[in-house]
Amino acid sequence: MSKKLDPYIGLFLLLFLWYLTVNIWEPVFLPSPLETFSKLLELAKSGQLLKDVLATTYGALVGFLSGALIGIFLGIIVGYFTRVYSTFSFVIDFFRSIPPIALFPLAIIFLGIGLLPKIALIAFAVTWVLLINTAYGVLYSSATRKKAALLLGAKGRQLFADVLFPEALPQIYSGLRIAVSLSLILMVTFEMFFGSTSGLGFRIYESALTYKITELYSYIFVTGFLGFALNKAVVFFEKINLHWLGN
Amino acid sequence: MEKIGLKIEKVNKFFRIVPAEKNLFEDFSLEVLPGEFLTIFGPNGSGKTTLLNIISGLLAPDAGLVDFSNQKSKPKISYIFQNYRESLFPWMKIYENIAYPLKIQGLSKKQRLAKVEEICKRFAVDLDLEAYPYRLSGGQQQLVAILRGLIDKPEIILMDEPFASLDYQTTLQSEQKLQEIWQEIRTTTIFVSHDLRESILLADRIVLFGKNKPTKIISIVDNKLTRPRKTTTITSSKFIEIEKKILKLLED
Repeated sequence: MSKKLDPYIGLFLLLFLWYLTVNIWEPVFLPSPLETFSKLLELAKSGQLLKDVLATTYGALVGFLSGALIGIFLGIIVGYFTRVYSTFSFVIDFFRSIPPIALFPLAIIFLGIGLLPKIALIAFAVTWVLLINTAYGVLYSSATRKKAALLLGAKGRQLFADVLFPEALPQIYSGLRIAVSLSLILMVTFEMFFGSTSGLGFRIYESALTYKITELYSYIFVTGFLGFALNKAVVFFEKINLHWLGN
Repeated sequence: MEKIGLKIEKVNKFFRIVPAEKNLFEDFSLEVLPGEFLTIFGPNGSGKTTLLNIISGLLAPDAGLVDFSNQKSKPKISYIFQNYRESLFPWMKIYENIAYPLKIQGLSKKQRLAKVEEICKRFAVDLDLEAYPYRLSGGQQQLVAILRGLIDKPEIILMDEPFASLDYQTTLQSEQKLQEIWQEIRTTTIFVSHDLRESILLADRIVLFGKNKPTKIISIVDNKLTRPRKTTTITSSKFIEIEKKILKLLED
């Protein structure tokens, strides 16, 4: 049998196990797969689900993209000028060690309630991930290639755009994959606990508080699927941009 | 175009090598004649690459200087590395790689493509210009690196064991191609190698480096064999004569 089918077999086995568990033990807090998916369909039909998915995706992506841009830009500078890295390595290590959730109260004080503090903190978290990854990508780039580019006359912006940035791209992408998951985790967490009125995190928390168990599972399932899709999207662009890698 | 020669005069280069601190070069001098193909043959660690780095300006000597004859400013120097995998840009297409020096000068994509097609035609090189380097064989990739080094018409070419990571047959082919190209341009070339056969085959003069530090020139051997030199030249009596002479010099 073709290996391509393997992931589907895994998925089928999981659903079957879920079905068996529900039928044998009849647990109170676990609805059957069929119940869950019909609930999902119902939520989708009402249009509510799409609104929540969009709200969560929007917040996570805006934070992710702005953090990535800042992180990559700073990372190239830090990676190229080793003096900058040695000067700021303590500061960088300190700030990236702060759990972004711990900063939420502060973000509310400065930025008010709403979407802005959430996006700002996601961007903050993503910046450090990309900064470190990009910096290492540049730092450990091929010395020969840098030498070749310099000898061919590349300098300044050209050296950065044509050589250092593509050279760091594999590292940048591994940073982006981590960061996109992190963005979703943070967005959902913020939606759960920090003054939201929509979004997947808010729905999950709300359905748990009101004991709407089937809804809870439906929202968890959608959140998982969203994370999966975001990751696949990054991998999709990675494959296009890094086709030359490993060949 | 007027050919450029160069004089390396009393160059000193100090290296901190554990456990002893040593001079790699001490009052080292060498003259490279305009329009000649000079090979430097020597053991690993004898400073062949360091010398190329000093000539190219990548590395400053601790004392002494490199004097380019008939030149007010530093001439255009092109440098071809041993490791083509690390010197080409794998994210650029073949024509983008070859034309990179022209991109830096601000030439448009159309102009660059035209120049690349021109150079390929001139040297009878057949490459898929729209492909990426990884689609090409090692020999072809090194050829791309050489073309990139030539497209801006350098006045001096430095080659650091360019064929050392190719297999034997590809090396033979690449040497033939290099000779074809060089016959056409006759640009002053310094070619570093640790392969004696290759050093003799390509050179007008072969510089022999000793293995002791500081590095000394054991001798400079002339090679007046007629060009083009074919693979069969290697087995000719005149070639073997030069080879024997060099081996004798290395033994003494």
